[in-house]
Amino acid sequence: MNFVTGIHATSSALTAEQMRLDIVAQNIANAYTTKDADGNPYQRRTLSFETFLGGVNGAEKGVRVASMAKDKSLGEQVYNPGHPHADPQGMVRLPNVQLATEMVDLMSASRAYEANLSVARNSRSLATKALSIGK
Amino acid sequence: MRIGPLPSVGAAEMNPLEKIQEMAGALAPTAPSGAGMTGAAMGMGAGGAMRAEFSNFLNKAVTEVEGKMRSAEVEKSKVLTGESNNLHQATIASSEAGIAFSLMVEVRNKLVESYQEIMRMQV
Repeated sequence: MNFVTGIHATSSALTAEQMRLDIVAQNIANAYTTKDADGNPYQRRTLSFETFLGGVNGAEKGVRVASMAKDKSLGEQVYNPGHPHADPQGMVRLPNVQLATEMVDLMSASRAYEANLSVARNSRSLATKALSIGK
Repeated sequence: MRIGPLPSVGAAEMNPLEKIQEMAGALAPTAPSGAGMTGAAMGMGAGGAMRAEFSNFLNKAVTEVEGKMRSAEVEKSKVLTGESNNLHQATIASSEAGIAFSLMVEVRNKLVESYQEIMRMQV
């Protein structure tokens, strides 16, 4: 029995968008990390989504995270000889995180999350209204 | 949520759903004996079969609602203990359980209503 239609697709979309928000948070947090585990400046992560079949008898098309990729572009180089990660010429390579881009990503992810929440709220209120037929 | 605090999995004797399940179970044995006593009309037999079917349906519905409530409970405790951070899945599960529960209550209300309607009948 599935009373709230499309809720599995919406739920998977909420999970995916939450993951996107987490990734944005991680990128912003590491915006000035000049050395990560393998010794390079942090590279911003990006997500890609894909469709999968799920829900009741696998009929609902949900969304899930397909892969997480590193943005390979090089970050800005600044002259800062006092920095512990500076090269012999005194240049420091900063991460390729652009705060403006990340904020835009953050906004679009949170708007998408809100949109999915509205869908959930709407289908729930439809089910409740359908129940009031009997009253 | 409209659902009150759920009894934990261990405290089954407190479960209000089991009362309804008992009610549904009580409907089932009356059907064959009713058909046997009058014994004559085909219509009565068909009615008995229908009644048994309805109690099956009710039983199934109650079981399903109970399952939904349990899974909502599991989801909720996972969030509360920090095992998962899928807040939306917990809320969705509990709202699904809530809707399933109100459907069951609606069916039960209709059942009681029709019973009272019959009791009010003049003979």
